Formats: sequence, structure tokens, C-alpha cells
Amino acid sequence: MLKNKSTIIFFVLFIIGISSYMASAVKVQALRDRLDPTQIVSALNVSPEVLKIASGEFASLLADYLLLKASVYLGGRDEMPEANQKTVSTLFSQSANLDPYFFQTCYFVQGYLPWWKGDYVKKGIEILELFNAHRDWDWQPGFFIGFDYFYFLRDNLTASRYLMEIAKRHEAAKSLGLLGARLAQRGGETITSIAFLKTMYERTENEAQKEEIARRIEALNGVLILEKGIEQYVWSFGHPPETLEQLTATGILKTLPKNPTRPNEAYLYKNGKIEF
Amino acid sequence: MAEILFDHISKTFRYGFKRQTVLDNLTLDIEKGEVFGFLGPNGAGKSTSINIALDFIRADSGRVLIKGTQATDSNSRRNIGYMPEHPHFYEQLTPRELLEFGGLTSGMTRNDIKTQAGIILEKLELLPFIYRPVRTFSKGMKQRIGLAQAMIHDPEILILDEPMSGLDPLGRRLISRLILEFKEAGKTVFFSTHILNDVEMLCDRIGVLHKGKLLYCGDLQGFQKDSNTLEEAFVKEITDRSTR
Amino acid sequence: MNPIWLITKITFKEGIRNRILFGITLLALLLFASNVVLTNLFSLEVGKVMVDLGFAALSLAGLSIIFFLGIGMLSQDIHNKTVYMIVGRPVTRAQYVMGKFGGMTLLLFVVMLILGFLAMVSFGIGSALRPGATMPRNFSWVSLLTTIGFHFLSLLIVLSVSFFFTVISSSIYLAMLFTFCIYFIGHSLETIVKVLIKGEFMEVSPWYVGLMKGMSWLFPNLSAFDLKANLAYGLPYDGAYLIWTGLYGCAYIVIMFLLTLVIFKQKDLC
Repeated sequence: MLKNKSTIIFFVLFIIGISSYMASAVKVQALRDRLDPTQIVSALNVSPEVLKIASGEFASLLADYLLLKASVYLGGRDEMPEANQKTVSTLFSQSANLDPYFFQTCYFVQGYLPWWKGDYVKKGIEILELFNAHRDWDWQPGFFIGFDYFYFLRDNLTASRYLMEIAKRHEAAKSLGLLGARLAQRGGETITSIAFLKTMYERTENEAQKEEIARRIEALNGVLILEKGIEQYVWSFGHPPETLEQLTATGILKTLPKNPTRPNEAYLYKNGKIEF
Repeated sequence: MAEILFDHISKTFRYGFKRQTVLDNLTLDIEKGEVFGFLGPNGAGKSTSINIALDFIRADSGRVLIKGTQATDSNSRRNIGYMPEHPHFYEQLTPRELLEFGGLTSGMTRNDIKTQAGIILEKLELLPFIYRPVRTFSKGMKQRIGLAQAMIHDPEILILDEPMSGLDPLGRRLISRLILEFKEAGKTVFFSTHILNDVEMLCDRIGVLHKGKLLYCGDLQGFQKDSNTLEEAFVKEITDRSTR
Repeated sequence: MNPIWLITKITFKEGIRNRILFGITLLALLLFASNVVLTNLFSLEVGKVMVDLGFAALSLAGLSIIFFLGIGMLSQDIHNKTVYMIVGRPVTRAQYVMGKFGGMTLLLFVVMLILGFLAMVSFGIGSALRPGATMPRNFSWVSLLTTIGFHFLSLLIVLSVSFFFTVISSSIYLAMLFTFCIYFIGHSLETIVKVLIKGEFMEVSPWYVGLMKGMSWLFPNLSAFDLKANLAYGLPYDGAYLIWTGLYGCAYIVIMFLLTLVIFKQKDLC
């Protein structure tokens, strides 16, 4: 009698428990999916040194974990809100400091930080320097830095310095050294830039970034065509054309190439030089 | 009706893939007002029987009745005072708190507990220590606390698992005296032991258990019949069975 | 008197007089003291750092109580047979487990109360010593109590898990290990599933995602109870979220508890 009674109570409680668990779990899941990632993941505003001390022998594990936390924000084509960018960059920087050998972090850093507006290019380069110093057998961090100087900061000289340095590190990067050397010279800049961008294009997986680089390559191809046209114009008339339209007017070029990086698809031309 | 009835109890323990039968069809009854000694070598199944009577262990088959109530019903333990072989307590509590807990769970009022605890602690010579936490107590003192909490609610049946083990002669005499007092009050005592001396002094009837089987149940004279001492009879009985 | 309450009482008394508790309190006090010192190392958002440190101390204290006192006392009861002193009385095993859980809950509650108060004092001292430091945005006592309350609920989940493992495993260390694993997984599984489902960087087989989703049914989502960010940054508390999460936590505890009971009822106490 007593046993039956307690068994019944048990089952009733169990069923109530299970059903309210199911219902609430689904509901909580739904409510949490709607939450902004900042409410789930936040970066502790602590300097990496403090984390290093606190984590002891688990430093590199913590680095993996921080990177994982950052990954919650990553992905998607939409521009990341400013607050999230800050959190992610903090997480990246902490993770990189805890484990400056982990290439995954290095790759993510290059894939995100420089592409954001503001000081993140500098911040990204700062983190990449860390990887460049530690992964001294690897040419990629240096290549990324070189690319960032070239592409975002338009500092060809520094970019070429990095490329020439990494060429010493690895057999496969020899051709990059050549690129770097040519990048430093004024002449032949466009072909070099195209080769450089093509290398980067192959190393990028993010579709949006790939598109952007592809557009830039296309634009540079246009520059190449224009430069050839201008060269021929100079050879024929002894001076560079006043405007680009003179190239089509004189029949040197059939049509002007389009510039996919500008809204009006035109190239800027000043004093015999193409700017874009 | 028997005070405690073991009705065809069997129990097998499993150790990994091995099985060991600890109790094999044990049937035994203990009558009201008697002191029953449960004898047997180490590992015979004495403690297991007692644990089944208190529902710490569930029998594979058979049942135990305490005054007609199934041992699996917690109410059966209302009339039982129990002391384990090595009593362990909540170490931070004082004897006073332990007795209060024991009394209240057995349905006593606070006032009753106070008077009863005074009497029992006096008898067990524990009065000076009632405000000290149990962790500071020696083994003998813990044993006496165990006895005190078994007796606090003035139970009709006392079940003691090896009450004399590890005690000095003074402690043993104290416990013997209490068991006899209990018997005089018309109550039932069921205890297991392998110290035969105590058995001769205290028991009305004995049961001898070996390898989970009951070899003998009855009065002392019947067991001792052609041997000079109880010890001789006991050794003979056990070795006979083992070599057979 | 109800045996459950009596067992709750002795469990609480046994726990509160245990030396381990002094150690835990001392550790928490040290953390609060460092609260005062450490906040000086941060220039921005001192309020947030104080919340982080205060709750870190609460977590640490709560978890140590569960691990060392909760698991320790329950498994000592079973393995040293102290439990005989309780179930040798007219007490059912269900009453014993309920009383034990009640006692540990009460102990956790009292410790949280005391440490929560100390945390507030250290916040006070910390911000007084540093002019210009402010309390977190939108700070209110209600939001603090809500955050502490949900933190407490997540500790109770860990406690119920620890009871379950203590009852099923033969060793105290295994029980501790299992409980710790659940605690750890409960806090990170959600993040892992989120990253996996987005699947931007990893080639994940749907089978694997399914496995992870299945696991999140099995393990408690402890990060759902973490409202520290709301407190630290003054974000609003969503009523529906609180109610559902509260129900979720209670349901998990009830289920764990019933499973513990079923197993404990069958168990041979020897």
C-alpha cells in the first residue's frame, strides 16, 4: 500500500519534472538564441600577462578557449558592431599572448582585424608581429604583415621589407622575396602588386574578403592596360595624355577598362599617373 | 509471535563478475525477552543478516519481520535500538545533539529525551563529555555513545553488531551489565559476536552461522553437549563442516 | 517532528562546524581583499571588474562547499556507514536524501548570504578608496539579488549532480571528477554548439552537430544562469527569460534528485 503510494508520487513527479524540463529547455534555448553574443560571451578586461599568471600550465588551453569564445562572434557577411569588434580583438590579443605559436589564431587575426575600420589594422599587425617572432620557421605571419602594410596602409617600402625577410625563411617563399624586391622599386609596381594579391587570394577563405581582393586584382589589371596605353601615347606624342579619354580618342585603346573599386567605375588620373 | 523473524533469507553479493552467496536460506526467530547470541567466524554473514533486518541491505529472497512488520517498512524500526560494529557519527556534533536527533526521529518529545538522556549518559559514564564534539572522543567512548543512542528511545528490541569488539575489560563489563539490565526489563537483545566468553555469560539461546548457513540454533547446553567448553564445541562444529 | 527537517538540521550543523568551511571563507575573504587592491589596476569600468571578482569569490566558495563538504559528507556517510545512525531509525531513505540535500542547500544559502554581504562591503571599500570609480551602470539591489539568486540556482544544479554521482559511484574521487566534468561541460557546451552550428570555419558533419545537440539535452546549460554581464553592464533583465530559466533549473534539479532517489533506494548500504 505504502510502496504503491510512493511509487505513484514518484512517477507523477518524474513526469512533471521531465515535461517541464523539455518545455523550459526549448524555451530557454530560443530565448538565448535571440540574445546578443555580448550577453553570452564577454572578454575579461585583463591584460594577457595577468591571464598568463593565473592560468599557469594551462595557458595554451586557455588560449584555445579564448579563441573559441571569439569564434562565437565570427562568421556571417554582416558588418560586426563596434562593441563586438572590441571584444573579439581583446580575445584575439589575449589568446595570441597566451599561445603565440597557434596558427589558427594568427589566421583569424588576419581574417578579421585589418578589415575593420579604425585602428584595428595596427592592432592586427601588432598581434601578427608576435606570431612572426615566435613562428620563426613560418613565412605566413610575415606575409600577412607585409600584405597589411601594402594593402591597408599603402606602405610599399615596409611591405617589401617583410616580404624579403620571410623569403630567407622558407624555400617556398623565395618568389615572395622577388615580389618584395620589386615592390620596393617604383617601376613594375602594378605587376608585382597583382602577383602579391593573387598569392593572398589563394590564402584567403573568407568569401567576402576573396571578392574584395578579386575586385582589387581586376582593378590592377585595368591599371596595367591603362599604363601600357599611356606608355604608347608617350612614345607617339612625346608627352603623357591630359585625360584618359585621349587614349580612346587617339585609338590607342578601344575602350577604357572599368574600375570595380569605385562607384563610378572610373580611374583617377593625374600627371601621367593612375591612382585608384 | 516472534520478535524478530528471519524467513528463508538468501543474499548473494556480486564482486565484478564473481558472485558470492553470503546467506543461504536463513530461517531464524528470536523470541520476546531473550538474549540471543549470534555466533560465527568472521565473514559468516552475521553482519549481513543484521543489515537485512534493519533494511540497510535488501535480501534477494525471503523476508524479515520485526514484531510482524516487514523490515522494508521504516516503521518496523520504531521498536529497535541498533548499534553498528564500528559506530561513526557526525563528528562535529555533541553527544547531546546526537541523542536529541535519535530521540526526535523515534518520536519522543524533547522533555522525554532530556530525562532519558540524563539517565543513560550517567549509566555509561559519559555525562562529563556531553558538550564536546564527538571527533574528540576515543574509540571506547564512541562505542558507548553508540549504545546510548541505541537506547535513548527505550526500545523493545536491541540489535547489537559485535558490541564487545575492541573494548577493554572495563568497557566489556559495562556493556554486559547493560544487556542484563535490559533483559531484566523483559526486553529482547539480539547481538552478534565471536567472543565466546560473552556468550556463556549472557545468552539464553545461540545461533551458529557458518558460510551463510545456520548450523545450530538452540540453548547453550545443547550445543556444548559432548565438549568441555563452548570454544571446543564451536571449533569442532566449524571444522567438521569445513572438511565435510 | 519531521525527520527530513531533523536531518537537514544535523547536516547543516555538521557542515557549518567543519574546518573546511573556515578555509573556504578565508579564501573568499582574501579574494574580496584583493578586490580592493586589484580594482586599482584597471582604468575603465571598475564596476565590472568588481562584479567579476566578487562573483568569482562566490563561485569558488560555493563550488568548494559542494565538492569538499557536499560530496565529502555524503560519501563519508555511505562509506563510513555513518548513514546507519540515521536510517537505523524509523527514517526512509527518501527522507534521508531529502534531508541531506536540504541541509546542504541551507548551508550554501547561508554562506552565499554572508559572502554576498562581504562582497558588497568590499565593493564599498573598493569604490571609496578610488575616487572617480562608479558602481556599474543601472545598478540596483534587485538586480544584484537576482544575479546572486540565479547563481545560487546553478550551484544547486551542481549539487544535485554531485549527489547523483556520489550515490552511483563507489569512490569519492570519481564522484568529484564526474561532477567537475558536468560543471565544466555545462558552462562551455553552449558556446561550442554555437560555433559548430555557424560552421563557418570548420567542416562539421551533421552527425557531429546532432551529437552535440543531443548532449545539450543531457547536460545542464549552466551558462544560462550567468547574469553577471547584465549586472556588470546594466543590461535589462527579461522577465520571461528569468521565469523560464528558473523553471529549467528547478526541473533539472527535480529530475536529478528523483534519479538519485531511485538509485539510492536500491543500493545496498554496505
